[in-house]
Amino acid sequence: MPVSSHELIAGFAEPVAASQQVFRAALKVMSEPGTLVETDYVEQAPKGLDLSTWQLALSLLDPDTRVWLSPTLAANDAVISNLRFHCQCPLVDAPKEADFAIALHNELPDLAELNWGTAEYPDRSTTLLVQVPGLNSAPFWTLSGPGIEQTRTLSIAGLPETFCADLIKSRQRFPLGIDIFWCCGNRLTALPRTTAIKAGMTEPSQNDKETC
Amino acid sequence: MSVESQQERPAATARQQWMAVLAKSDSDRLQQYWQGLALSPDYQFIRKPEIGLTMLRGRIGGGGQPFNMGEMTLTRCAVRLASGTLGISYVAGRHPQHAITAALADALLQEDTRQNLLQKQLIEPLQAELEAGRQQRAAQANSTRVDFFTLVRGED
Repeated sequence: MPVSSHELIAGFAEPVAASQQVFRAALKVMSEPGTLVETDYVEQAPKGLDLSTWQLALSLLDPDTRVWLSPTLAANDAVISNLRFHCQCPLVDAPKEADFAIALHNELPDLAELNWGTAEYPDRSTTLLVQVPGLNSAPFWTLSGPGIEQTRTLSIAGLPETFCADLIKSRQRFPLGIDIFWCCGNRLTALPRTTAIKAGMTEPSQNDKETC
Repeated sequence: MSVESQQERPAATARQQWMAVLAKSDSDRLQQYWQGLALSPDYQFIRKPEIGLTMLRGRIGGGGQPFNMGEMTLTRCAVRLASGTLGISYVAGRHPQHAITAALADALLQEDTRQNLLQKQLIEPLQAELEAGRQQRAAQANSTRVDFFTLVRGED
C-alpha cells in the first residue's frame, strides 16, 4: 500500500535526542509501574493517535518490529502512512505475530490472541500500547510489585470488564505475560507483567476523562 | 526487485527526471543556481536530513543474478511547504544542505506557479552540466579504446 504523502506530518524535531528522552520516559513508567509521565516532543500526531502513542511509536518502532494495529487504526490512512514513513515498521494482520500491538481502548484484542512469549524466551512477547480516554492516579486499581514501594493507585477509563479480568488473571502465568503501555493525550504509564493488580470497588467516573 | 517489474514501469515521469538531476548534480553548483534564484519559501521539515547507509545491488550483464555490491552513504530529507506540497530528496554521500535544497526544489517544481522558472533556471542548466560531464568522461574513455583482433582458434 503506498504512503499517502498529503497525510505525512513531521516527526521529532530532534530525532536522536527526542527518541532517547521518550525511551527514557518509557523505561521510567515500566520500571515504576503506574507512575504518570508527560512527554512533549512532538507538536502533533497523526489523526487518530494521541501525542503519547505517536511519540512511543516514533521511539520504539523500526523496520525490525512487527506491528499490529486495531481495526480503526489499521483503516486510518494518516496512521499507517506516517508509521510507514517515519518508522518503516512492517504491519501484520495477526496480533500473535506482532512485537508491538497498538489498540484503541474499545478495540482491544483478547489477551490470548497476543504472543505471550515462551518459557525459554518470555521477553519475546507482544508489547501492547493502548490508547485510553482517561488516565489518572485515582484509586481504582491498586498496584503492587517490583518498582512500587508499598502500593500505587491507577485509574484507566474506558476498558471493557472482560479485558480487566483477563489482565488480572494473566499474572498467574508469570513469567509469561503481556506488558502494556497506556497512553492518553500526552500522558503515559505502563503495567508490566510483574505488577499485581487489585481491582477497586468503584468504576472510573466520567470526571476522570476530563482530566486528560 | 526483478528485471521484469522494472521494464514494465512507464517512462520516467517529469518528477523522476528532475529528482534525478537534483540528486546527481554537484553540490556546489546546485547551491549556486539555487541562491541565484533567491527563493526563500516557508517550509517545515517532515524528515530532517538524515545520513544513513543503503545497499547497492548489481547485476552482471543483463541476465546475471542480482548481488549485493556494497553499501554507500546516503542523505535523505523531506520538507513540506507552507502551501502543503511535499518535497523529497535522496542524495548520495553526506550532504545535508544538498538534500534540503533538492527537497525544496522538488516541492517547488510540483507547484504550477514556479515550475517553469525552476525548470529553466535550475534543472536545465544542471542537466546540461551533467550531460557535458558525462560526454567528457565518455570521450576520455573512448580515446583509450583498443580493438582486439584475434584468430578464431576453434575452441567453441
